[in-house]
Amino acid sequence: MKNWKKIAWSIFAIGLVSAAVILYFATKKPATAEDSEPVAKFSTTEFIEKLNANQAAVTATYMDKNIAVTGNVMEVNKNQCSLVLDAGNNAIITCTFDSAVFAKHAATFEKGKPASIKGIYFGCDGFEKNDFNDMMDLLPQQKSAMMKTCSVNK
Amino acid sequence: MKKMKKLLFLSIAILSITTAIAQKKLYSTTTGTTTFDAGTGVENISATNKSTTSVFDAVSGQMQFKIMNKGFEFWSQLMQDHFNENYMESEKYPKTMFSGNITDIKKVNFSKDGTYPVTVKGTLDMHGVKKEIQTTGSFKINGDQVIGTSSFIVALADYNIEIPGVVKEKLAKTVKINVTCNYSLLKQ
Repeated sequence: MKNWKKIAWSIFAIGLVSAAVILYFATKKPATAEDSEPVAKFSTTEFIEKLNANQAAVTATYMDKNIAVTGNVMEVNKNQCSLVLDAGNNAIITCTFDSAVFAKHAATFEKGKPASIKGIYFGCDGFEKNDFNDMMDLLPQQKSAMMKTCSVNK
Repeated sequence: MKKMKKLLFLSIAILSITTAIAQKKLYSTTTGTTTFDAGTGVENISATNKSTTSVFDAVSGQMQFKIMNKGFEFWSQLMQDHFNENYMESEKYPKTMFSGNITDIKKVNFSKDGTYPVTVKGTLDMHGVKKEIQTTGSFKINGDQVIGTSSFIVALADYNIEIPGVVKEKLAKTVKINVTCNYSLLKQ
């Protein structure tokens, strides 16, 4: 009888732990740049130069990682909670924020002024000949690196 | 005589290029918002991408969109991982593209404030499958501000996105997609 009780309690305990683990992973929020420290810091031009030199290597090293970039603010889009940083040579870095994080820092973002932003890097694209070939006769070719869940890097 | 011919040819070439440029008026954005809702009511399965790249020509109506799939943000890490690894296969198909035309662009008066309904027709290239779609949308003109919005539904099966049996109750067979872009006139 005692053995049965032990087995029942063990099954219950294993079930409880499994449920807790499943619940944890199912409800775990995605990592944001706000809650972590960047693994690398660059100027915006430096980061674009790295991408121009070897995009595959940058993807392998920094994809889905928190990185920080510093450059001049080109656009502040309050409605979309995003910033566009100038990276020189027809290149930009697009930084998108959670609305609450953006609201916290919005007053410090000024067009033409420098900003240091950390965010999760998720790719580099922009207006490129291969994708926008029908309209490229007038559209300036523009490389755009993208970061999400951004915050100000202090 | 030869010189005259050359000069005439050059003038025609310059005139053609100038006319082609004058006939285009491009609006663009790199920070458009695309959201989708794929829930059935059992669980919230929705995501937002705030880095939608888009351009359209206010003269011809030509329009293009590009979305990096990895830019979609979910409320749950697990959902985000499943979306990128199992459903969209973002490593293999990193972008979703749309290329088409606003068929009734002439109805939009970009110099007069107001909301103008439009029809968009073109090819949606998603998960390695290209499919013709048609949808309605609108342009809201407010001074220099041009906001384009559209909402449409796609069937996951049309784009070879398989739903595993275990999540069939939670994940809808059709997905509602909303796009909002705040365009700026491209200085030429």
